[in-house]
Amino acid sequence: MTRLASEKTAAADAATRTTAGICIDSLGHAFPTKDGGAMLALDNVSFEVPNGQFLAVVGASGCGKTTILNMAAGLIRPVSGSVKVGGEEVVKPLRDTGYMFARDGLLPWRSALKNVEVGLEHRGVPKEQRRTRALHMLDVVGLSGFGDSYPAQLSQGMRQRVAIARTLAINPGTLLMDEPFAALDAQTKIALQGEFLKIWEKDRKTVMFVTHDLAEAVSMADRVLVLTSRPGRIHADITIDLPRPRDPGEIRFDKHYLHLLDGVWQSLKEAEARAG
Amino acid sequence: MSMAMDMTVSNNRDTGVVSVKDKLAQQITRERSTRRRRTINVAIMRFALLAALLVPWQLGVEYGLINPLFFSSPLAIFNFLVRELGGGTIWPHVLVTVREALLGFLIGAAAGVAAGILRMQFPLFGDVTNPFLTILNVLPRVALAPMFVLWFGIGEGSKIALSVSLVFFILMLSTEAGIKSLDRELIVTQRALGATRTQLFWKVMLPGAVPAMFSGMRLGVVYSLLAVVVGEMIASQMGLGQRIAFYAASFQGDGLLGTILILAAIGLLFNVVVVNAEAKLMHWRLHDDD
Ligand SMILES: Nc1ncnc2c1ncn2[C@@H]1O[C@H](COP(=O)(O)OP(=O)(O)OP(=O)(O)O)[C@@H](O)[C@H]1O
Ligand SMILES: [Mg+2]
Repeated sequence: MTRLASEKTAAADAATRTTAGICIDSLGHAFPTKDGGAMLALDNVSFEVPNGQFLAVVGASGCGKTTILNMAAGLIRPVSGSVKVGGEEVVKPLRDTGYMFARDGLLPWRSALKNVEVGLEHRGVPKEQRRTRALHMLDVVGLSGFGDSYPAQLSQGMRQRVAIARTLAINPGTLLMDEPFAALDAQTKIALQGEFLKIWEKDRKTVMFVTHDLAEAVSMADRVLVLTSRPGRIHADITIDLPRPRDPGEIRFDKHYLHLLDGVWQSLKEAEARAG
Repeated sequence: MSMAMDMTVSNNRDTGVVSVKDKLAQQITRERSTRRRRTINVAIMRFALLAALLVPWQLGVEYGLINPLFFSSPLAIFNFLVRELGGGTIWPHVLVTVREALLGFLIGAAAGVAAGILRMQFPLFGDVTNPFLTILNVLPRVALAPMFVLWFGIGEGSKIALSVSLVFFILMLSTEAGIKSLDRELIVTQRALGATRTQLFWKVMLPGAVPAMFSGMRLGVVYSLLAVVVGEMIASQMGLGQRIAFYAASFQGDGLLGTILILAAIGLLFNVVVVNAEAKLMHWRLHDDD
Protein backbone atom coordinates (compact mmCIF):
# COMPACT_ATOMS: atom_id res chain seq x y z
CA MET A 1 0.00 0.00 0.00
CA THR A 2 2.73 2.49 0.84
CA ARG A 3 5.06 3.68 -1.81
CA LEU A 4 8.06 3.02 0.40
CA ALA A 5 7.36 -0.62 1.05
CA SER A 6 7.22 -1.53 -2.61
CA GLU A 7 10.25 0.45 -3.69
CA LYS A 8 12.83 -0.22 -1.04
CA THR A 9 14.75 -3.25 0.14
CA ALA A 10 14.07 -4.65 3.58
CA ALA A 11 17.30 -3.14 4.96
CA ALA A 12 16.55 0.28 3.59
CA ASP A 13 13.01 -0.06 4.85
CA ALA A 14 14.25 -0.73 8.38
CA ALA A 15 16.50 2.30 8.17
CA THR A 16 13.55 4.41 7.05
CA ARG A 17 11.46 3.12 9.88
CA THR A 18 13.94 4.28 12.51
CA THR A 19 13.76 7.77 11.03
CA ALA A 20 10.06 7.38 10.31
CA GLY A 21 8.11 10.49 9.39
CA ILE A 22 5.39 11.05 11.93
CA CYS A 23 4.35 8.34 14.35
CA ILE A 24 1.16 8.91 16.37
CA ASP A 25 0.68 6.24 19.03
CA SER A 26 -2.60 5.79 20.98
CA LEU A 27 -3.04 9.50 21.35
CA GLY A 28 -5.67 10.64 23.82
CA HIS A 29 -6.40 14.16 24.91
CA ALA A 30 -8.95 16.00 27.02
CA PHE A 31 -9.36 19.67 27.83
CA PRO A 32 -10.51 20.94 31.22
CA THR A 33 -14.00 22.47 31.09
CA LYS A 34 -15.20 25.55 32.96
CA ASP A 35 -17.21 23.51 35.47
CA GLY A 36 -14.10 21.56 36.49
CA GLY A 37 -14.78 18.48 34.36
CA ALA A 38 -12.94 17.22 31.33
CA MET A 39 -13.94 17.23 27.67
CA LEU A 40 -12.57 14.32 25.65
CA ALA A 41 -11.13 15.71 22.42
CA LEU A 42 -9.15 12.76 21.06
CA ASP A 43 -9.69 9.08 21.79
CA ASN A 44 -6.99 6.53 21.10
CA VAL A 45 -5.79 7.80 17.75
CA SER A 46 -2.90 5.90 16.14
CA PHE A 47 -1.44 6.33 12.68
CA GLU A 48 1.87 6.78 10.93
CA VAL A 49 2.92 9.09 8.17
CA PRO A 50 5.84 7.47 6.34
CA ASN A 51 8.76 9.61 5.31
CA GLY A 52 7.93 11.62 2.22
CA GLN A 53 4.17 11.06 2.35
CA PHE A 54 1.62 13.81 1.91
CA LEU A 55 -1.19 13.02 4.34
CA ALA A 56 -4.41 15.01 4.47
CA VAL A 57 -6.60 14.88 7.57
CA VAL A 58 -10.29 15.76 7.34
CA GLY A 59 -13.08 15.67 9.90
CA ALA A 60 -15.88 17.72 11.40
CA SER A 61 -15.12 21.02 13.08
CA GLY A 62 -13.95 20.48 16.64
CA CYS A 63 -12.94 16.84 16.18
CA GLY A 64 -9.37 17.48 17.27
CA LYS A 65 -7.38 17.97 14.06
CA THR A 66 -5.62 21.09 15.24
CA THR A 67 -4.97 19.40 18.57
CA ILE A 68 -3.12 16.57 16.81
CA LEU A 69 -1.03 19.06 14.84
CA ASN A 70 -0.26 21.09 17.96
CA MET A 71 1.01 17.93 19.61
CA ALA A 72 3.11 16.99 16.59
CA ALA A 73 4.48 20.54 16.64
CA GLY A 74 5.37 20.24 20.33
CA LEU A 75 3.13 23.13 21.33
CA ILE A 76 1.01 20.99 23.69
CA ARG A 77 1.68 17.66 25.43
CA PRO A 78 -0.83 14.83 25.03
CA VAL A 79 -2.59 13.53 28.14
CA SER A 80 -1.90 9.98 27.01
CA GLY A 81 -0.02 8.34 24.16
CA SER A 82 2.91 9.78 22.27
CA VAL A 83 3.90 11.57 19.11
CA LYS A 84 7.24 10.89 17.43
CA VAL A 85 8.65 12.86 14.55
CA GLY A 86 11.71 11.43 12.82
CA GLY A 87 11.93 8.80 15.54
CA GLU A 88 12.16 11.43 18.27
CA GLU A 89 9.47 11.89 20.90
CA VAL A 90 8.10 15.41 20.59
CA VAL A 91 8.19 17.33 23.87
CA LYS A 92 8.96 20.78 22.50
CA PRO A 93 8.96 22.40 19.04
CA LEU A 94 11.51 20.57 16.88
CA ARG A 95 13.93 22.51 14.72
CA ASP A 96 13.25 20.24 11.76
CA THR A 97 9.47 20.75 11.76
CA GLY A 98 7.62 23.54 10.01
CA TYR A 99 4.08 24.53 11.05
CA MET A 100 1.71 26.63 8.96
CA PHE A 101 -1.64 28.08 9.98
CA ALA A 102 -4.63 29.58 8.21
CA ARG A 103 -3.61 32.96 9.57
CA ASP A 104 -0.20 34.07 8.39
CA GLY A 105 1.07 35.25 11.79
CA LEU A 106 3.53 37.61 10.10
CA LEU A 107 5.24 40.08 12.40
CA PRO A 108 3.76 43.43 11.30
CA TRP A 109 6.90 45.40 12.12
CA ARG A 110 9.10 43.27 9.87
CA SER A 111 9.34 43.54 6.10
CA ALA A 112 8.38 40.48 4.04
CA LEU A 113 12.06 39.60 3.65
CA LYS A 114 12.74 39.88 7.39
CA ASN A 115 9.66 37.78 8.07
CA VAL A 116 10.99 35.02 5.84
CA GLU A 117 14.35 35.27 7.61
CA VAL A 118 12.95 34.93 11.11
CA GLY A 119 13.10 31.14 11.41
CA LEU A 120 16.70 31.19 10.18
CA GLU A 121 17.46 33.87 12.76
CA HIS A 122 16.15 31.58 15.48
CA ARG A 123 18.58 28.95 14.20
CA GLY A 124 21.54 31.29 14.26
CA VAL A 125 22.12 31.29 10.50
CA PRO A 126 24.58 34.08 9.55
CA LYS A 127 23.10 37.25 8.09
CA GLU A 128 24.37 36.93 4.54
CA GLN A 129 23.22 33.33 4.19
CA ARG A 130 19.86 34.22 5.71
CA ARG A 131 19.30 36.99 3.24
CA THR A 132 20.27 34.91 0.22
CA ARG A 133 18.01 32.07 1.30
CA ALA A 134 15.07 34.38 2.07
CA LEU A 135 15.40 36.18 -1.26
CA HIS A 136 15.42 32.82 -3.01
CA MET A 137 12.30 31.66 -1.14
CA LEU A 138 10.44 34.87 -1.95
CA ASP A 139 11.33 34.23 -5.57
CA VAL A 140 10.03 30.64 -5.33
CA VAL A 141 6.63 31.82 -4.08
CA GLY A 142 6.50 34.50 -6.77
CA LEU A 143 7.14 37.53 -4.59
CA SER A 144 10.53 38.72 -5.79
CA GLY A 145 10.49 42.49 -5.56
CA PHE A 146 8.21 42.56 -2.53
CA GLY A 147 10.95 41.91 0.04
CA ASP A 148 10.82 45.43 1.41
CA SER A 149 7.03 45.58 1.73
CA TYR A 150 5.45 45.37 5.16
CA PRO A 151 2.62 42.88 5.81
CA ALA A 152 0.06 45.70 5.96
CA GLN A 153 1.00 46.59 2.37
CA LEU A 154 0.41 43.08 1.02
CA SER A 155 -2.81 41.36 0.01
CA GLN A 156 -3.95 38.34 1.97
CA GLY A 157 -2.79 35.94 -0.73
CA MET A 158 0.61 37.61 -0.80
CA ARG A 159 0.88 37.42 2.98
CA GLN A 160 0.12 33.72 2.89
CA ARG A 161 2.83 33.31 0.25
CA VAL A 162 5.26 35.04 2.59
CA ALA A 163 4.18 32.62 5.31
CA ILE A 164 4.84 29.66 3.01
CA ALA A 165 8.26 31.08 2.13
CA ARG A 166 8.97 31.58 5.84
CA THR A 167 8.11 27.96 6.63
CA LEU A 168 10.03 26.54 3.67
CA ALA A 169 13.06 28.76 4.34
CA ILE A 170 14.03 26.63 7.34
CA ASN A 171 13.93 23.62 4.99
CA PRO A 172 11.98 21.46 7.43
CA GLY A 173 11.95 17.69 7.00
CA THR A 174 8.39 17.60 8.27
CA LEU A 175 5.58 20.03 7.46
CA LEU A 176 2.47 20.45 9.58
CA MET A 177 -0.22 22.50 7.92
CA ASP A 178 -3.49 23.63 9.50
CA GLU A 179 -5.89 24.81 6.80
CA PRO A 180 -3.09 26.92 5.30
CA PHE A 181 -5.19 28.11 2.36
CA ALA A 182 -8.53 28.44 4.14
CA ALA A 183 -8.45 32.23 4.34
CA LEU A 184 -7.96 32.71 0.60
CA ASP A 185 -10.34 33.32 -2.29
CA ALA A 186 -10.97 30.42 -4.68
CA GLN A 187 -8.55 31.46 -7.44
CA THR A 188 -5.66 32.36 -5.18
CA LYS A 189 -6.27 29.15 -3.30
CA ILE A 190 -5.96 26.93 -6.38
CA ALA A 191 -2.92 28.89 -7.57
CA LEU A 192 -1.17 28.47 -4.22
CA GLN A 193 -2.11 24.80 -3.98
CA GLY A 194 -0.46 24.28 -7.36
CA GLU A 195 2.63 26.25 -6.41
CA PHE A 196 2.95 24.43 -3.14
CA LEU A 197 2.61 21.03 -4.82
CA LYS A 198 5.26 21.97 -7.34
CA ILE A 199 7.68 22.87 -4.58
CA TRP A 200 6.75 19.80 -2.56
CA GLU A 201 7.07 17.37 -5.47
CA LYS A 202 10.72 18.40 -5.86
CA ASP A 203 11.92 17.07 -2.51
CA ARG A 204 8.88 15.35 -0.95
CA LYS A 205 8.92 16.28 2.71
CA THR A 206 6.64 14.48 5.11
CA VAL A 207 3.42 16.47 5.25
CA MET A 208 0.43 16.36 7.58
CA PHE A 209 -2.18 18.66 6.08
CA VAL A 210 -5.44 19.46 7.86
CA THR A 211 -8.27 20.85 5.76
CA HIS A 212 -12.04 21.19 5.48
CA ASP A 213 -11.81 21.37 1.72
CA LEU A 214 -12.18 17.80 0.45
CA ALA A 215 -11.17 18.77 -3.09
CA GLU A 216 -7.99 20.22 -1.66
CA ALA A 217 -7.33 17.04 0.31
CA VAL A 218 -7.86 14.68 -2.63
CA SER A 219 -6.07 16.79 -5.24
CA MET A 220 -2.96 17.30 -3.14
CA ALA A 221 -2.48 14.31 -0.84
CA ASP A 222 -1.18 10.73 -1.17
CA ARG A 223 -3.60 9.62 1.49
CA VAL A 224 -6.62 11.01 3.32
CA LEU A 225 -7.46 10.27 6.93
CA VAL A 226 -11.10 10.78 7.92
CA LEU A 227 -11.77 11.47 11.61
CA THR A 228 -15.07 11.04 13.46
CA SER A 229 -16.71 13.94 15.27
CA ARG A 230 -15.75 14.66 18.85
CA PRO A 231 -14.01 12.78 20.30
CA GLY A 232 -11.82 12.28 17.24
CA ARG A 233 -11.19 8.69 16.20
CA ILE A 234 -9.95 7.38 12.88
CA HIS A 235 -12.91 6.52 10.69
CA ALA A 236 -11.27 5.81 7.34
CA ASP A 237 -7.83 5.74 5.76
CA ILE A 238 -8.07 6.32 2.01
CA THR A 239 -5.17 6.03 -0.42
CA ILE A 240 -5.18 8.58 -3.24
CA ASP A 241 -3.44 6.84 -6.12
CA LEU A 242 -3.49 9.73 -8.57
CA PRO A 243 -0.35 10.19 -10.67
CA ARG A 244 2.10 12.98 -9.96
CA PRO A 245 2.96 15.67 -10.79
CA ARG A 246 -0.55 16.95 -10.21
CA ASP A 247 -2.13 20.25 -10.95
CA PRO A 248 -5.04 21.02 -8.58
CA GLY A 249 -6.40 23.41 -11.20
CA GLU A 250 -6.58 20.73 -13.91
CA ILE A 251 -7.36 17.61 -11.96
CA ARG A 252 -10.88 18.76 -11.08
CA PHE A 253 -12.36 17.08 -14.16
CA ASP A 254 -10.40 13.83 -13.89
CA LYS A 255 -12.74 10.82 -13.58
CA HIS A 256 -10.70 8.88 -11.07
CA TYR A 257 -10.23 12.04 -9.02
CA LEU A 258 -13.98 12.59 -8.92
CA HIS A 259 -14.48 9.01 -7.88
CA LEU A 260 -12.00 9.32 -5.02
CA LEU A 261 -13.49 12.64 -3.99
CA ASP A 262 -16.92 11.06 -3.80
CA GLY A 263 -15.48 8.24 -1.66
CA VAL A 264 -13.95 10.69 0.82
CA TRP A 265 -17.17 12.66 0.91
CA GLN A 266 -19.31 9.57 1.65
CA SER A 267 -16.84 8.50 4.31
CA LEU A 268 -16.95 11.90 6.01
CA LYS A 269 -20.76 11.78 6.01
CA GLU A 270 -20.69 8.36 7.70
CA ALA A 271 -18.10 9.61 10.20
CA GLU A 272 -20.28 12.54 11.16
CA ALA A 273 -23.43 10.44 11.33
CA ARG A 274 -21.70 7.97 13.58
CA ALA A 275 -20.79 10.55 16.23
CA GLY A 276 -22.88 11.13 19.30
CA MET B 1 -33.09 67.78 -29.55
CA SER B 2 -30.51 67.01 -32.19
CA MET B 3 -28.08 69.32 -30.48
CA ALA B 4 -28.47 67.40 -27.24
CA MET B 5 -27.71 64.21 -29.13
CA ASP B 6 -24.56 65.79 -30.54
CA MET B 7 -23.45 66.82 -27.10
CA THR B 8 -23.81 63.30 -25.78
CA VAL B 9 -21.81 61.85 -28.63
CA SER B 10 -18.97 64.31 -28.28
CA ASN B 11 -18.97 63.80 -24.52
CA ASN B 12 -18.59 60.10 -25.01
CA ARG B 13 -15.69 60.68 -27.36
CA ASP B 14 -14.08 62.91 -24.75
CA THR B 15 -14.18 60.31 -22.02
CA GLY B 16 -12.63 57.87 -24.46
CA VAL B 17 -9.73 60.23 -25.16
CA VAL B 18 -9.08 61.21 -21.55
CA SER B 19 -7.57 58.05 -20.11
CA VAL B 20 -8.28 56.77 -16.62
CA LYS B 21 -4.75 57.71 -15.56
CA ASP B 22 -5.20 61.29 -16.69
CA LYS B 23 -8.50 61.49 -14.86
CA LEU B 24 -6.87 60.19 -11.71
CA ALA B 25 -4.10 62.77 -12.07
CA GLN B 26 -6.71 65.52 -12.44
CA GLN B 27 -8.56 64.22 -9.45
CA ILE B 28 -5.39 64.18 -7.36
CA THR B 29 -4.51 67.73 -8.39
CA ARG B 30 -8.02 68.82 -7.52
CA GLU B 31 -7.90 67.14 -4.15
CA ARG B 32 -4.49 68.63 -3.41
CA SER B 33 -5.66 72.17 -4.11
CA THR B 34 -8.78 71.61 -1.99
CA ARG B 35 -6.56 70.42 0.83
CA ARG B 36 -4.24 73.40 0.48
CA ARG B 37 -7.18 75.78 0.55
CA ARG B 38 -8.45 74.06 3.68
CA THR B 39 -5.07 74.35 5.43
CA ILE B 40 -5.02 78.09 4.72
CA ASN B 41 -8.58 78.50 5.95
CA VAL B 42 -7.84 76.63 9.15
CA ALA B 43 -4.81 78.83 9.80
CA ILE B 44 -6.87 81.99 9.25
CA MET B 45 -9.63 80.78 11.56
CA ARG B 46 -7.16 79.82 14.27
CA PHE B 47 -5.61 83.26 14.08
CA ALA B 48 -9.07 84.83 14.27
CA LEU B 49 -9.92 82.76 17.33
CA LEU B 50 -6.69 83.82 19.03
CA ALA B 51 -7.42 87.46 18.22
CA ALA B 52 -10.98 87.07 19.50
CA LEU B 53 -9.50 86.03 22.84
CA LEU B 54 -6.61 88.48 23.09
CA VAL B 55 -8.05 91.70 21.69
CA PRO B 56 -11.05 91.98 24.09
CA TRP B 57 -8.72 91.05 26.94
CA GLN B 58 -6.25 93.83 26.05
CA LEU B 59 -9.04 96.36 25.42
CA GLY B 60 -10.79 95.35 28.64
CA VAL B 61 -7.64 96.09 30.60
CA GLU B 62 -7.13 99.36 28.79
CA TYR B 63 -10.67 100.58 29.44
CA GLY B 64 -10.52 99.48 33.06
CA LEU B 65 -13.03 96.66 32.75
CA ILE B 66 -10.48 93.96 33.69
CA ASN B 67 -8.18 94.28 36.68
CA PRO B 68 -4.61 93.78 35.42
CA LEU B 69 -3.46 92.91 38.93
CA PHE B 70 -5.27 89.56 38.64
CA PHE B 71 -5.40 89.04 34.89
CA SER B 72 -2.41 90.96 33.55
CA SER B 73 -2.74 91.77 29.85
CA PRO B 74 -1.53 90.21 26.58
CA LEU B 75 0.87 93.07 25.96
CA ALA B 76 2.34 92.92 29.47
CA ILE B 77 2.87 89.15 29.07
CA PHE B 78 4.45 89.70 25.69
CA ASN B 79 6.78 92.32 27.13
CA PHE B 80 7.69 89.98 29.99
CA LEU B 81 8.57 87.20 27.55
CA VAL B 82 10.68 89.50 25.36
CA ARG B 83 12.51 90.88 28.40
CA GLU B 84 13.13 87.56 30.13
CA LEU B 85 13.91 85.38 27.13
CA GLY B 86 16.07 88.02 25.47
CA GLY B 87 18.87 87.90 28.04
CA GLY B 88 16.81 88.02 31.20
CA THR B 89 17.19 85.87 34.27
CA ILE B 90 14.68 83.14 33.30
CA TRP B 91 17.06 80.89 31.35
CA PRO B 92 18.80 79.26 34.35
CA HIS B 93 15.33 78.36 35.66
CA VAL B 94 14.31 76.91 32.29
CA LEU B 95 17.50 74.87 32.25
CA VAL B 96 16.88 73.45 35.75
CA THR B 97 13.27 72.52 35.02
CA VAL B 98 14.09 70.90 31.68
CA ARG B 99 16.99 68.97 33.21
CA GLU B 100 14.86 67.70 36.09
CA ALA B 101 11.99 66.72 33.82
CA LEU B 102 14.26 64.92 31.36
CA LEU B 103 16.23 63.05 34.02
CA GLY B 104 13.06 62.11 35.87
CA PHE B 105 11.48 60.91 32.65
CA LEU B 106 14.50 58.88 31.53
CA ILE B 107 15.06 57.21 34.90
CA GLY B 108 11.34 56.60 35.46
CA ALA B 109 10.75 55.29 31.93
CA ALA B 110 13.75 52.94 31.99
CA ALA B 111 12.81 51.57 35.40
CA GLY B 112 9.12 51.33 34.46
CA VAL B 113 9.76 49.44 31.24
CA ALA B 114 12.18 47.12 33.03
CA ALA B 115 9.69 46.46 35.84
CA GLY B 116 6.86 45.84 33.39
CA ILE B 117 8.95 43.35 31.45
CA LEU B 118 10.17 41.56 34.58
CA ARG B 119 6.65 41.30 35.97
CA MET B 120 5.37 39.85 32.70
CA GLN B 121 8.30 37.47 32.22
CA PHE B 122 8.30 36.25 35.82
CA PRO B 123 4.66 35.93 36.94
CA LEU B 124 5.73 35.01 40.48
CA PHE B 125 7.58 38.32 40.78
CA GLY B 126 4.49 40.01 39.34
CA ASP B 127 2.16 38.39 41.86
CA VAL B 128 4.35 39.15 44.85
CA THR B 129 4.85 42.80 43.95
CA ASN B 130 1.25 43.43 42.91
CA PRO B 131 -0.32 44.76 46.16
CA PHE B 132 2.65 46.99 46.93
CA LEU B 133 2.72 48.55 43.50
CA THR B 134 -1.04 48.99 43.47
CA ILE B 135 -0.98 50.92 46.74
CA LEU B 136 1.91 53.10 45.56
CA ASN B 137 0.14 53.74 42.28
CA VAL B 138 -3.20 54.84 43.78
CA LEU B 139 -1.42 57.08 46.27
CA PRO B 140 -1.53 60.77 45.21
CA ARG B 141 2.18 61.07 44.50
CA VAL B 142 2.29 64.78 45.32
CA ALA B 143 1.81 63.73 48.95
CA LEU B 144 5.30 62.27 48.77
CA ALA B 145 6.89 65.59 47.77
CA PRO B 146 7.71 66.80 51.31
CA MET B 147 9.26 63.44 52.10
CA PHE B 148 11.39 63.59 48.95
CA VAL B 149 12.61 67.05 50.04
CA LEU B 150 13.57 65.50 53.37
CA TRP B 151 15.40 62.65 51.66
CA PHE B 152 16.96 64.31 48.63
CA GLY B 153 17.23 67.93 49.73
CA ILE B 154 15.70 71.10 48.37
CA GLY B 155 17.70 70.86 45.10
CA GLU B 156 17.00 68.95 41.91
CA GLY B 157 17.09 65.48 43.51
CA SER B 158 13.69 65.78 45.17
CA LYS B 159 12.01 66.98 41.93
CA ILE B 160 13.54 64.17 39.94
CA ALA B 161 12.36 61.67 42.55
CA LEU B 162 8.79 62.98 42.32
CA SER B 163 8.88 62.74 38.53
CA VAL B 164 10.29 59.20 38.65
CA SER B 165 7.50 58.16 41.05
CA LEU B 166 4.93 59.17 38.42
CA VAL B 167 6.64 58.16 35.18
CA PHE B 168 7.65 54.77 36.53
CA PHE B 169 4.05 53.61 36.95
CA ILE B 170 2.84 55.04 33.67
CA LEU B 171 5.54 53.19 31.72
CA MET B 172 5.27 50.01 33.79
CA LEU B 173 1.53 49.77 33.22
CA SER B 174 1.68 50.59 29.51
CA THR B 175 4.51 48.10 28.96
CA GLU B 176 2.49 45.41 30.70
CA ALA B 177 -0.61 46.31 28.70
CA GLY B 178 1.44 46.15 25.50
CA ILE B 179 2.78 42.69 26.28
CA LYS B 180 -0.62 41.42 27.45
CA SER B 181 -2.47 42.64 24.38
CA LEU B 182 0.05 41.05 22.02
CA ASP B 183 -1.58 38.78 19.45
CA ARG B 184 -1.25 35.20 20.78
CA GLU B 185 -1.02 34.01 17.20
CA LEU B 186 2.29 35.80 16.70
CA ILE B 187 3.80 34.07 19.71
CA VAL B 188 2.53 30.61 18.73
CA THR B 189 3.76 31.09 15.16
CA GLN B 190 7.23 32.06 16.31
CA ARG B 191 7.35 29.23 18.83
CA ALA B 192 6.49 26.82 16.03
CA LEU B 193 9.26 28.40 13.97
CA GLY B 194 11.70 27.40 16.69
CA ALA B 195 12.07 30.58 18.77
CA THR B 196 13.53 30.07 22.23
CA ARG B 197 12.10 31.95 25.22
CA THR B 198 14.80 34.58 24.92
CA GLN B 199 14.24 34.97 21.18
CA LEU B 200 10.48 35.25 21.72
CA PHE B 201 11.14 38.06 24.14
CA TRP B 202 13.50 40.06 21.92
CA LYS B 203 11.85 39.40 18.57
CA VAL B 204 8.15 39.33 19.43
CA MET B 205 7.19 40.64 22.86
CA LEU B 206 9.47 43.66 23.04
CA PRO B 207 8.83 45.00 19.52
CA GLY B 208 5.16 44.13 19.94
CA ALA B 209 4.94 46.23 23.11
CA VAL B 210 6.65 49.26 21.54
CA PRO B 211 3.43 50.98 20.39
CA ALA B 212 1.97 50.76 23.90
CA MET B 213 5.25 51.98 25.39
CA PHE B 214 5.12 55.01 23.16
CA SER B 215 1.63 55.95 24.25
CA GLY B 216 2.97 55.62 27.80
CA MET B 217 5.88 57.88 26.94
CA ARG B 218 3.65 60.54 25.43
CA LEU B 219 1.81 60.65 28.74
CA GLY B 220 5.06 60.26 30.68
CA VAL B 221 6.78 63.40 29.42
CA VAL B 222 3.75 65.52 30.30
CA TYR B 223 3.55 64.04 33.79
CA SER B 224 7.28 64.41 34.31
CA LEU B 225 7.00 68.13 33.64
CA LEU B 226 3.98 68.33 35.92
CA ALA B 227 5.82 66.55 38.73
CA VAL B 228 8.91 68.75 38.66
CA VAL B 229 6.87 71.96 38.47
CA VAL B 230 4.76 70.92 41.44
CA GLY B 231 7.91 69.90 43.29
CA GLU B 232 9.46 73.28 42.59
CA MET B 233 6.35 75.12 43.72
CA ILE B 234 6.37 73.29 47.04
CA ALA B 235 9.99 73.88 47.97
CA SER B 236 12.78 75.05 45.72
CA GLN B 237 15.30 77.76 45.01
CA MET B 238 15.39 77.27 41.25
CA GLY B 239 13.12 76.25 38.41
CA LEU B 240 10.02 77.55 36.61
CA GLY B 241 7.73 76.17 39.31
CA GLN B 242 9.57 78.24 41.89
CA ARG B 243 9.17 81.28 39.61
CA ILE B 244 5.44 80.67 39.32
CA ALA B 245 5.09 80.48 43.08
CA PHE B 246 7.13 83.66 43.41
CA TYR B 247 5.20 85.66 40.78
CA ALA B 248 1.88 84.53 42.21
CA ALA B 249 2.87 85.52 45.74
CA SER B 250 4.02 88.95 44.54
CA PHE B 251 1.01 89.58 42.29
CA GLN B 252 3.00 89.73 39.06
CA GLY B 253 0.43 88.42 36.63
CA ASP B 254 2.59 88.98 33.55
CA GLY B 255 5.40 86.88 35.02
CA LEU B 256 3.00 84.20 36.17
CA LEU B 257 1.27 83.78 32.82
CA GLY B 258 4.48 84.28 30.83
CA THR B 259 6.16 81.48 32.78
CA ILE B 260 3.16 79.25 32.18
CA LEU B 261 3.51 79.93 28.45
CA ILE B 262 7.18 78.94 28.61
CA LEU B 263 6.16 75.71 30.33
CA ALA B 264 3.59 75.04 27.63
CA ALA B 265 6.31 75.50 25.00
CA ILE B 266 8.57 73.04 26.82
CA GLY B 267 5.73 70.52 27.06
CA LEU B 268 5.02 70.90 23.35
CA LEU B 269 8.70 70.41 22.52
CA PHE B 270 8.85 67.20 24.60
CA ASN B 271 5.73 65.94 22.91
CA VAL B 272 7.08 66.65 19.42
CA VAL B 273 10.28 64.73 20.21
CA VAL B 274 8.35 61.66 21.39
CA VAL B 275 5.88 61.76 18.49
CA ASN B 276 8.73 62.02 15.97
CA ALA B 277 10.62 59.14 17.55
CA GLU B 278 7.42 57.12 17.44
CA ALA B 279 6.84 57.88 13.76
CA LYS B 280 10.44 56.87 12.98
CA LEU B 281 10.26 53.60 14.86
CA MET B 282 6.81 52.60 13.68
CA HIS B 283 6.95 53.44 10.00
CA TRP B 284 5.60 49.93 9.37
CA ARG B 285 2.17 50.92 10.59
CA LEU B 286 2.15 54.53 9.37
CA HIS B 287 2.67 53.67 5.71
CA ASP B 288 -0.92 54.50 4.77
CA ASP B 289 -0.31 58.15 5.64
CA ASP B 290 2.13 58.79 2.83
N1 LIG C 1 -7.24 25.26 24.63
C1 LIG C 1 -8.40 24.60 24.67
N2 LIG C 1 -9.15 24.59 25.79
C2 LIG C 1 -10.31 23.92 25.85
N3 LIG C 1 -10.83 23.23 24.84
C3 LIG C 1 -10.14 23.20 23.69
C4 LIG C 1 -8.90 23.89 23.55
N4 LIG C 1 -8.45 23.67 22.29
C5 LIG C 1 -9.37 22.90 21.68
N5 LIG C 1 -10.38 22.61 22.53
C6 LIG C 1 -11.53 21.76 22.22
O1 LIG C 1 -11.05 20.55 21.69
C7 LIG C 1 -11.80 20.16 20.57
C8 LIG C 1 -10.90 19.96 19.40
O2 LIG C 1 -10.34 21.18 19.03
P1 LIG C 1 -9.49 21.36 17.71
O3 LIG C 1 -9.07 22.78 17.64
O4 LIG C 1 -8.42 20.35 17.68
O5 LIG C 1 -10.56 21.04 16.59
P2 LIG C 1 -10.40 21.03 15.01
O6 LIG C 1 -10.66 19.66 14.54
O7 LIG C 1 -9.11 21.65 14.62
O8 LIG C 1 -11.58 21.96 14.58
P3 LIG C 1 -11.68 22.97 13.36
O9 LIG C 1 -11.85 22.13 12.15
O10 LIG C 1 -12.89 23.77 13.64
O11 LIG C 1 -10.42 23.77 13.33
C9 LIG C 1 -12.83 21.23 20.33
O12 LIG C 1 -14.06 20.77 20.76
C10 LIG C 1 -12.39 22.40 21.16
O13 LIG C 1 -13.50 23.01 21.74
MG1 LIG D 1 -8.56 23.45 13.66
